[in-house]
Amino acid sequence: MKKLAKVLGLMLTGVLSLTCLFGCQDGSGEENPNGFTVIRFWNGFTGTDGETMDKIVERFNTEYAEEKIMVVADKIPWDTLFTKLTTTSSNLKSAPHIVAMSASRIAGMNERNIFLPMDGIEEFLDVTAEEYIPAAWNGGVLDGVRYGFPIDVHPTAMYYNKDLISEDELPETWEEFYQVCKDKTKDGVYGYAVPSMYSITKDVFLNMLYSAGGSMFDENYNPTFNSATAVEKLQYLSDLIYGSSPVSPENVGSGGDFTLFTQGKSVFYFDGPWVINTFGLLDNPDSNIGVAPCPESVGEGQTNFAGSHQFTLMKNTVTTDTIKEACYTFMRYVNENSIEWAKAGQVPALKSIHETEEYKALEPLAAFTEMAYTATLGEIEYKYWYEAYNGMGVGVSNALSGIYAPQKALDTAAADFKAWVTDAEL
Amino acid sequence: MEKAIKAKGEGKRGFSVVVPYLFVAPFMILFIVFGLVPLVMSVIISFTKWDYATPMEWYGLNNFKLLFGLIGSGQVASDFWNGVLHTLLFVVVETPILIAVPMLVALLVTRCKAVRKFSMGFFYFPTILSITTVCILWNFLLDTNSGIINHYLGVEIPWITQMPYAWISIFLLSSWWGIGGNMILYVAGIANVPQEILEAATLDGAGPVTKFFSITLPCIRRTVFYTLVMTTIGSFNMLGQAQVLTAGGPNYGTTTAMMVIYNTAFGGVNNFGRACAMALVFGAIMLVFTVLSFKLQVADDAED
Repeated sequence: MKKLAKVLGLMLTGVLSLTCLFGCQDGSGEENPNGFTVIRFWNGFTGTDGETMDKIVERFNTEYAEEKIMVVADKIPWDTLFTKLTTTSSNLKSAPHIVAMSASRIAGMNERNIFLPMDGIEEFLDVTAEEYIPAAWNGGVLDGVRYGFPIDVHPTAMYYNKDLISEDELPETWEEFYQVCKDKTKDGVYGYAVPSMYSITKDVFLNMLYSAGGSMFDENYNPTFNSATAVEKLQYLSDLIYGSSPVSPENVGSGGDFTLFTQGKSVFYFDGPWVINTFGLLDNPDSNIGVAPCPESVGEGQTNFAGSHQFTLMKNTVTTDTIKEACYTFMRYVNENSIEWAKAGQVPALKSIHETEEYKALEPLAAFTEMAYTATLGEIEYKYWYEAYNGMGVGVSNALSGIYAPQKALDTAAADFKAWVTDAEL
Repeated sequence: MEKAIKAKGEGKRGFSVVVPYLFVAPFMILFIVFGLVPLVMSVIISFTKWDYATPMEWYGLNNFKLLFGLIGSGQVASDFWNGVLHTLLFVVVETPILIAVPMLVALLVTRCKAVRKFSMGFFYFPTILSITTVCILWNFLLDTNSGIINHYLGVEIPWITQMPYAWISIFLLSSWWGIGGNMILYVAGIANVPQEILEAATLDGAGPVTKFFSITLPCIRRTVFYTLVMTTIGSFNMLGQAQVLTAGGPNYGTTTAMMVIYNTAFGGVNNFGRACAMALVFGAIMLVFTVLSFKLQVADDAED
């Protein structure tokens, strides 16, 4: 009996040890069943957009079964995706072939030498720049080399509560915006609850900055987000909270603007196109929530700040022309079938989609689509753009929290960023 | 024949010698793979400049010099040491709370037998939630303008957006989240205190306070030491609360050392060498506190 217990104990020990050893092995490598070219596609679309992308992938796999191309999509939250990408890009068994990411991350990630330039993609897919929204088309190009192929554009637009404001009263300039907010701020209702934590406010700030001809950097990538124009715009936002006639409560935290808006306690709310699904605007045409372009962001000579999702190719895994062409085919398929993508709350980069009746019926997207055509992504070709954007966000937050005056807040953020670059370059 | 018996005996002895090692093998393998190797690797990486994707460059002591402001702009040193200071603040305030309050709760729970199971479940429940869930929940509760807490208190406290409230929120949240874990350990410890000693003390006229300090506390001191060491280490590693609830703000005021290390390694620029140097320096600080705790325990054991 004792002997049996000892043998069982030993077996258990052995099994545990082996489990530890083999558990550490990477088992996520894809086989190549029946001669299929298997493409691993990583993306961070975890909401409605993620479900939609899965459906598009599923349809692609059905339609391209004869061509023997199969795409395996893996949804990973954005932060984790970049961490995982950094640590697995050299592991050929599990590393992806295609990764969707924000255009603003391409320059920084390209420093790690992980991307495959998309040589010949335009000829292979027979596409031209004219077919795409300019900001999205240009957003994937660094020093004349294409590393990103456009999926969509996502500007920040102005949601409004129809019970509190009529369409005729909607402001077209930021001056009008303040006046409207001032008129509407009464009886526990605010014009616009300005969030002071690091959030969408920095995109609203950049919208105003680029609309006024400002920028985040000069041609030598010295920060200009503390220029006189930038300070003036941040002062404007700060005055909405701390001015003589405030139209926003103080200390609106992350998500506080959304809560007040949904409670009917603020007239305006700024956010990206994906929120149309959170508000259920596509399913409910009688909703009391409407969307309009940001003031001074559309029309002749106007611009606005937006983001763009792009496909990128990984050079360690896309090693043959067959794999590369399969990847190109999938990218184009997503573009051409992006009406579904639009329903998930995105503005497709391919212009022809916008001309379809089905797309035009998606009325809440009209404001975003209009803004997308005049959008700029900023100086995202700069490898430290993402860090500057976050640092600038702290400056904006400090001004809107009343910690520093706008000038000091932006000067401090710019000085901190310069110091950060000095250390990063060491 | 004798030879055969001897050989069999030797074989048995050899087998007996191997058996203990086989039993410790799973732990040793896990420790070597997930403990020792990463530690040695991080020491090596701390002397390099490396972003994982491009080849490693030898960097000498520069990562450490940066941490002490001997080279560079001083920004790295300032960020790191601010993070360390914030972490120490958290450790100094939160650790005593997470030792004393669960003890009090455990005493109450063990005394009120009628509601014992319910109370234990009530206090233990937050522990099973992930820190992200807890932070999102508290973000709603603490919202300045539409949060339930301000609504019922009839105040407009900027819990998350201003100092010192951001820290108070983190302490409140961490206490709510962490009480249950230590409470369960204390309840188990208190249950093992010999009843006859407590009854004898009662007959001798000892009150509840005297019984607690003279009998219960000495009897569960090893549990207390265990929770002290584990809670201190846990507090040093605080990341989620600052990352999700306050995003390190306002104005980097709640950025902890772990957050600085994480952002250095996995932020936009993957500077693993610098992050490893930070982790080693921070690990050394943690080690000092842990050794002090153990010394206290050893001194206490020696007194017995």
